[in-house]
Amino acid sequence: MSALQEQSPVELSFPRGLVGFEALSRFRLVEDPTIAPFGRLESIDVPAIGFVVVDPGSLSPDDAERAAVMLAGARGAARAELGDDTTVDFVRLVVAIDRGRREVAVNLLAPIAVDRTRGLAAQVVLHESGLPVRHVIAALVTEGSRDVAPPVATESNVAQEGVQP
Amino acid sequence: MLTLTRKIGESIVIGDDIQVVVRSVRGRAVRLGIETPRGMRIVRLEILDSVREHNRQAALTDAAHAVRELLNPPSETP
Repeated sequence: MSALQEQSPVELSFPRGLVGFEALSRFRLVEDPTIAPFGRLESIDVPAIGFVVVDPGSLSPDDAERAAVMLAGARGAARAELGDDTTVDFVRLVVAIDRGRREVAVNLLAPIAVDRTRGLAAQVVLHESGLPVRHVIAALVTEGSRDVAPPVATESNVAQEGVQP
Repeated sequence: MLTLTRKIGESIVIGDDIQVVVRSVRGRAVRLGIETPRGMRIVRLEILDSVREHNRQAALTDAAHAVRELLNPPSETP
C-alpha cells in the first residue's frame, strides 16, 4: 500500500447542481494524494460521472492574484446562493481536458465554493470579475497514440524549477 | 416571446417577486437592474452556455484515470 493515504472523502450537497448537470445534487470530493494537486468530484447520484478539480492555490504563482480575486468573489456569490450563514472554506476549479484544442483548462469564472462545515457547495458565476471560463494550464502533446500533458505548473514545481542551475 | 417597450427607470415584473428595471441605454447596450429572491441564479446566457460547455467537456467517466495519465505520461520505449 502506498505511503500516500487518500483522505476521507467529503460528501457535498449542491442544491442547484452543477451548471449543465442540475439534476446531480450529491457529490463526493476526494482529495487523492496520488493525483495531487488534482482531486476528484464524483457524483453520488450517477457514479459514472465525475470531474477533475484543482485547488486554485496550487496553480502557478502567476495566477495567484487572479485566484485571490476569485476567492473573494466566490465568498460573496456563495452567500447569495447558499444563504447568509455560508462560510466558504475553500474553492475548487473544474478541469477540462480538451483533446480537440489539445489543452488542459480550468474554469476561473465559475469556481466551486465549498462550505465544508455544512456539507454544502455551489458552482458560482463571478460576474464582472473579468476571469475567463477557459484558462489553459497545460498543453497536450501526443506520445504514441495517447494524449498526455507535461506536468502542470504548480506552486511547488515552479519553485523547484526556479532553483535549478 | 412577449416583447415590451420600457423607458429608462421603468420596470417589468416577472411572477410575484422578480423585477427588472432599465437603468440606462447607451448605443446598442442596455443596462438592467434585476431583483430576485435570494438564491436565484442570474447569469448572462452566453456565460451560462460557456460554463455548461466547459462542464460537459470536464465530465469524465473515470476522472482519476485521466488525471493519472496526465501526471504520469508513458515513458518512451528505447
